[in-house]
Amino acid sequence: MTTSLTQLTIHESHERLKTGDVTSEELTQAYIKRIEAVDPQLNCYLTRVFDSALLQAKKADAQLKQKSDVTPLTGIPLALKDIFITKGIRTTCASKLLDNYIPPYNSTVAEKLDRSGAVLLGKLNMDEFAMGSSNEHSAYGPVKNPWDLTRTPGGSSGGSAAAIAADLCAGTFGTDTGGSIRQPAAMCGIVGMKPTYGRVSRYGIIAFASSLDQVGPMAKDVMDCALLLNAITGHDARDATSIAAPVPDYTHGLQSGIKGLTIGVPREYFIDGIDPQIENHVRSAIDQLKLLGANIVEISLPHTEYAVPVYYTIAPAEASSNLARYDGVRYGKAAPGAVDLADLFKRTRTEGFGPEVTLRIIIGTFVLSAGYYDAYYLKAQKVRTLIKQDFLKAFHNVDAIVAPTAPTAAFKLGEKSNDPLQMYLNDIFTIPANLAGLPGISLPCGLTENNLPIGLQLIGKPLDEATLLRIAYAYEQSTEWHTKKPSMQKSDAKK
Amino acid sequence: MNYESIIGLEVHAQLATKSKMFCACSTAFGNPPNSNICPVCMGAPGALPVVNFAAVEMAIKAGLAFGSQIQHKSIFARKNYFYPDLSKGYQISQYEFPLCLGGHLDIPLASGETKRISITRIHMEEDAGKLTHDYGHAEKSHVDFNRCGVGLIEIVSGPDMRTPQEAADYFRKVRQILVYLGVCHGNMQEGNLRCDANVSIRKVGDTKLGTRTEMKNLNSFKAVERAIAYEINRQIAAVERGEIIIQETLLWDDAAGKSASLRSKEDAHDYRYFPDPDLLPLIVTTDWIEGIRKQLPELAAAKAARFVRDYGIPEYDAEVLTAERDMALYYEKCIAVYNSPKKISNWIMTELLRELKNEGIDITACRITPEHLAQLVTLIDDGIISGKIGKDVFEEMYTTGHAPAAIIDTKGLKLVSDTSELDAIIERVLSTNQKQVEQYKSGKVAVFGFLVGQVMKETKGQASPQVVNELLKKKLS
Amino acid sequence: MTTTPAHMDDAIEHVAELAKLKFPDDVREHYARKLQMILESMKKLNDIDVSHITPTSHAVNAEGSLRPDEAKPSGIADALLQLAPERDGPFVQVPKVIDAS
Repeated sequence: MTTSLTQLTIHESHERLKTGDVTSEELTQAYIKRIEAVDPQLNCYLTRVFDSALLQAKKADAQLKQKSDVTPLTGIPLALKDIFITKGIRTTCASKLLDNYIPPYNSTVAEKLDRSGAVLLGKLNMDEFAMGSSNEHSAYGPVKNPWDLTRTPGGSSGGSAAAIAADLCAGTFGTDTGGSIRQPAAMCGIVGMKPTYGRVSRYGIIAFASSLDQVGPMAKDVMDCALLLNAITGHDARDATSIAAPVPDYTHGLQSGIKGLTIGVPREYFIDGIDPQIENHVRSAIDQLKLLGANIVEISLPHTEYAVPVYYTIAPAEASSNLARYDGVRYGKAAPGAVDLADLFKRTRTEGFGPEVTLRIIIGTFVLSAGYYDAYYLKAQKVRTLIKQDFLKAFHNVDAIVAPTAPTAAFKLGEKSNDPLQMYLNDIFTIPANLAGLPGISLPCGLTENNLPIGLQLIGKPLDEATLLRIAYAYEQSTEWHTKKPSMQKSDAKK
Repeated sequence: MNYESIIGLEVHAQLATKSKMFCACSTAFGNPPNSNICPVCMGAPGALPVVNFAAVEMAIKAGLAFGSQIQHKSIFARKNYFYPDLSKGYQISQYEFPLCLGGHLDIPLASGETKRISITRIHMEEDAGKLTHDYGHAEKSHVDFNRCGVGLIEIVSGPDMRTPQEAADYFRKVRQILVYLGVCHGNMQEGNLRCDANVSIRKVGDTKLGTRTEMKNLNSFKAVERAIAYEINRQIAAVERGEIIIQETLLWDDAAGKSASLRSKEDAHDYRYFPDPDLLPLIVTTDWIEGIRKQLPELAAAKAARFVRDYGIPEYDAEVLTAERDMALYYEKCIAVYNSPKKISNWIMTELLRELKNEGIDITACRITPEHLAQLVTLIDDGIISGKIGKDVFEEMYTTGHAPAAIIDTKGLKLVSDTSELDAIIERVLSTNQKQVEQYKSGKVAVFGFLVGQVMKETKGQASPQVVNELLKKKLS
Repeated sequence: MTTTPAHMDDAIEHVAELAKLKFPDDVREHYARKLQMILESMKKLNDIDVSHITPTSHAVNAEGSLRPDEAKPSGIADALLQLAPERDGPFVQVPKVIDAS
């Protein structure tokens, strides 16, 4: 065994678990050890549940031994972004307001994971209420990028992406409202997918912007991504927006290649402001896809430039309403000693929400308020229609779209935290898929001169996750990028 | 100066579903506080609403009964405001695109004519929890979320009513229809129906509407009438004093018989309605609507007309019997057992309604089953008991709920019509009253009555007078 | 739709009241500046004529699924009640509510 257990992918671990070569308990112990050794530097885990993880591992070992109820995730140590409601396990959403919130109910995803026999190691850091692109907006401190500890891992699923990259869990699920899975996946050199809106139940996902939020897998490679997606996809009667469409086995057809597929390259995604190194690597990746037999055509998504202002109207509007429930009455941390009702509401919320969440509540409340609704909110919804139409038109001619995931590689901690507009622009390539409800995936396609990962994004037709995974798999298997591991060092110390 | 008042009502009716509007919690009234709650109605993080199918059907039923246009596509929106009884910080309602548009309702006027009140819209929404101000610590209020999330429809009328009486009549009529449809239990004490009134005044002859105020918390028919009368007087007095009416929300205090302004800093309401992203548009197909239309029950007016036509009872009786759906059903069940519509109607209208009123209960709580009431009338008609004894039996039935036959048996109230038994009694009476027998035989026919009376006395009134008559005549001839 | 600084200050005041937030003056100014900056960037949307476009409020063009009317206890009513920061007996407790609406 030259590679350590924690470096194994899910499918590799599964093979070993099945043969009895390794037990889930050993695997879980290996992750626990690594978390204890490495996480103090990264700050990925907000809550660790190692005792229950070891119990789950023992149960999984018994199942594996008896070959009963074994799924591809049985005995695999996973973790969850702290936005997923987990019954009996502290769920904070990285907010002080929910500092000691232990829910007595479960999210559908956590329930499904439990049934799959997976082992839950703990809950992962994120931007508070998933609002951020750098994981600097967590009430529990920022997460460091394992490729360079002076940089952010991206966000909002920053803890999740960093944990996978640093082998602190075998796989995880994030949520993606404007790029919160794909952008950190790109910045940490892992695979992250946002499925079609409605493909995965949102029940028990702490809401940020309900018409945009979607759960998706984050993994070490494309095969793992497909396995994780298999475990959580499908209609849920508890989510009225979940889609009642048949669910394929996403691991099938991964190897069937991409010959004859037409892939579009949107001209609006290669703009001024994109890091030339990113553009170069993405262009080479596109060449590679061509080499693998895909037809590459240039397309236009003319309303792309409006996606950021549309998103930063709609998402805060929905968030301002979604976050109204945190009033200190029924749960969460109430401001002590309130003199009256208004004081309870105002102090609970003002003291409880961090500055970025507060700013978004302000924006969202403003754009919905009397006199501004039409000029801001309604207008944004109309432009959203145009953005969606751009994609639908494009998909008449192409099977998928290829683009960079983010305009830059991981940026320095603190670099953009004072300039929301700069921060928001980092989501420019990921936001459109959310606005249109389309599936998207990010996978590694290179490293910058500073040894920072670069993400390749693929965007697909509604419910066509399978084609995205097929293209991603073909690309991944023909390159070495997914095998690169982070240095776990500070950039200054490197030289 | 003469003024006329312009009144519009918003009636909030709790839907008679088993579960809440967006979750599976029970809607049962009277359970311990905070026992019918779940993550959805408590607004717990991550919980999501899913619309109750039956609630939509009931709202459509109401729309059809009021002649509304049922919209094929309607949208749930969020009405955002903070209040401790509102668990999500917003109420899910319908705003720009409600389920039902238009409609009307005819109400009777004192003159005997009817007046058509227009209905602007009917939309679906959820109820809030209940605040208690008199529990425990005096400086605190207490919230029970059992009611939070119960389905409601709001029926908005046009500004078509002119008097407090008309408004109360309209409210009564709305309640009657909803109860007939089975979409609302209509229990005022339990708060199934609540009402807000928009009131303005103008000088007679003016065509422009005056500034209106909104009066909240009108939870009984009497409150509607009193509150609106109060508000009309208040506005007239203000105008007479040269004041300007300000648009405001008022809270009616029924116990004190007056209203108070709800004006506060927060009253600058800005609800920021927007489509609820958790709920996709509600699509209602023509097939669905037509299917529901076919199942619409007969409403009060149609039922009353049928009672007059088919049962031959007076219009007044028919109206009384159909005022409450449950009473009409009771009456029809009686008829099904014993087809004597007028007699049964008389028993209900005189005896039964009096007892129910005295006890302050409604027909659903009555201990006399329709079958038993019908049996009682049958027993009288068959001469088993007299009408007079029937009233005693009725009293007993009302108190105990026992069957009339059982009461008659145990109390021995049956009329004696056994001729051999009566023969012996008559022989005895005739032999002890030889003098009167002689008088009768000599042509003094009037003593016959005396003899009958003696027989009845001997039988303690339980002999059938007819049988006694016949037997006596035979013996004396 | 003017967004002068003075106007922005009033707007923040109004928004804070609606969203139940309360800031000292310097913090309010900080948010006023940021809000103004962001609103400025949204003006880009005025470039396009959207007068004939229908708004999109949901990512998918579907109808909502409905739920059968079956009442079922959550089984966690008490656990949910226990989460409330202030309780008294079976009630959730809050500071005295003066007016009711």
